Amino acid sequence: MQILASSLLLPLMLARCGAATRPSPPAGPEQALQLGVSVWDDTSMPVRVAPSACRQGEPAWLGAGHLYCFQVTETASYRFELAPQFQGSIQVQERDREHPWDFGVGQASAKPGEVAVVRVALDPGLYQVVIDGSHWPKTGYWLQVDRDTSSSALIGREDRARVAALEAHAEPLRLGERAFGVYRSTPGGARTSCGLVGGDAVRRLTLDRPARIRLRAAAHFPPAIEVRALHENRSLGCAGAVEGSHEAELVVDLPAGEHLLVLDSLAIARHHMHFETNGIMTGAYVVDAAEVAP
Amino acid sequence: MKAPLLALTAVLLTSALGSLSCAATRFTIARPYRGTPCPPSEVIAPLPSLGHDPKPFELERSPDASDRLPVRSAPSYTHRFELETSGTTAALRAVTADEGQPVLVVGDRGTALVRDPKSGWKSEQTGTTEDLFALSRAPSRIKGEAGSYLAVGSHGVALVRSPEGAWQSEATGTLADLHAIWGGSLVVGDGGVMVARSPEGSFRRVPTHTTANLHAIGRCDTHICAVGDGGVIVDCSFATGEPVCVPRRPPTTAALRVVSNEVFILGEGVWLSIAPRSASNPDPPPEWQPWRLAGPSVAGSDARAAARNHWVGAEMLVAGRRGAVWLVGNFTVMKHPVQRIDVPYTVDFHGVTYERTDGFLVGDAGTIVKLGVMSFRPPTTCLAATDALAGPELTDSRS
Repeated sequence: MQILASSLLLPLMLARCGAATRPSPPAGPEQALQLGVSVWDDTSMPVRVAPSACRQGEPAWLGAGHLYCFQVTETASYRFELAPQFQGSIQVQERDREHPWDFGVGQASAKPGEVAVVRVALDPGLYQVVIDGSHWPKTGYWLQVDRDTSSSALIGREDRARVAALEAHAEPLRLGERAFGVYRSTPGGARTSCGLVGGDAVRRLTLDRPARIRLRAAAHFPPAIEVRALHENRSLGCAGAVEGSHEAELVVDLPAGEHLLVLDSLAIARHHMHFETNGIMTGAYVVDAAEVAP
Repeated sequence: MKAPLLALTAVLLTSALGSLSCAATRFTIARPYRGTPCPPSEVIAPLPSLGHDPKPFELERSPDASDRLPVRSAPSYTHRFELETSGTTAALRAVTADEGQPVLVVGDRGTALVRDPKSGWKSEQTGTTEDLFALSRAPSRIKGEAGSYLAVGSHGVALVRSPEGAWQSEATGTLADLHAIWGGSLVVGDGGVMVARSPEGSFRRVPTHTTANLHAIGRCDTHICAVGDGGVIVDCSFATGEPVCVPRRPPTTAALRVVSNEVFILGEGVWLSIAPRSASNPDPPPEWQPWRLAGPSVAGSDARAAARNHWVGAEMLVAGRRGAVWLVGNFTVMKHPVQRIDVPYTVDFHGVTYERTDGFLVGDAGTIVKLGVMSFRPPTTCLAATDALAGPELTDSRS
């Protein structure tokens, strides 16, 4: 009950897409669904079939489950919580952008008195949240969604201790040579100031004199690259791939000394390509470093 | 009790091996059902011989015979290699033999040959004198139209062969020599060139971020890899629906020539396989390392082409320079799957194809060698749906 009570305090508002299971759906237009929603409902009423914004006119027929839609306007990590009074499950589904089907991108289940939590990074778009209570005594549940600001969120702030560990083991980046690597997005990992998803891709660049350096990165994902003074969280330059590109170029004047190159991704993985991976992005990259004339 | 236990053990072992084979070879293990053995499947005969070679070279092989697992026996087949007269002295570079389609060969100076089962190899007019290095099924221009082929070669030449045998050139937008095709749509060549072909026949450049000459392209795990000089491996992801290609750290300095079987990259004196992964879900791009089962015959020999037979024991046919030919057995059950074959040919081979009971090797001086697998009888599965639902009763066929 404590969990349920605390849920009420959260500034949440999540409305159902359609009136798939409500006994008395409100008349008029369907309610818009927003981030920060808390919903109390129960699955004890008979299932109705109704048009749904999620389904874009298709019947929202889910057996005895409840269906909500959730509009994401900003790429971020989200946290969905379900506190059921029955043994229930929650699944977040992504609508395919080109085909009439959905992909489960995260799911969890809980017993009465427990909370099922789905943490998932989502791109802008329309998602469905399905509460399944079809196989158990049908009673009430709380549902809420919010931005995931925890340390385990895929998209979040750097964890300085984690980045320090990456710095300590960073391979050197040498002028005139190509650096090969595989990036993997990591909660709390090294994140560029102009990128999005922190990861494990860092390189150490040592200059014995000031120089203008050109860094070119190519990757399986849209990369962002940044140069920092080593051991300092201070950006000396940052550049990201333009929309639709998988290359980034940064030309920056650097002082003599040790620097840290950070490479991260401007995108999370498409869920339908990586089922149940919570948007974790991985891919190969190369970085070419060269000195150029001022 | 002992006999049924033995029978069950044999069935379980057979089923386990069958499952391994199923995933890789598309056929299943026959097993008896309620005391009635499965009817034997019919022998599949290879394409009829043209009778050009008075002394075919024959080899007895059991490509599924395990030297690691306690399996009593595995089928053995005669592999017959025989020369066929091509009617040309041009170097022949690539061959295809898709089921239900004619056997096609392309080579230097615009050579194109088609095999007539009775009268032998016939030349086709391609309208070019450029060397043709690669040949592949092409996605159809017209929905429902099947049987088109794409050939590419020197100076950026690309030709499409219609099902009727008419060749027509297409503009690739590059003058680089083009050496390999994947899926009829991705083409690679010298200088790191990669072009993507639409089903309508238009080409566009795909950045590879390398200037190395690329000799081959094919499936590598869940990605597509182009390989070439200096151990270059360009790994292409299709996560966004379009190819996005990035070079990997070269695992060797040797020239790489072949991408085969999704898990092998072969080259000059080196055969690579995928290294164990350190992370998964999602899987990172594959890393490559020397294949520990390659054996000593690989060193010093240059592999130039490979094809995997999905029917006969997952056997892979590899050919290369100076008459080098290997047959690679089922490496999931064999300790020493790679067998170098001392064939009586010394030319450089450039292209191979191998499926079901038929293979072809093509090479310099108009050389065409036909490989026929004799007495191949595909294993079968007995299906009795109603009874199976009630619970199959498996019995030892020896009882």
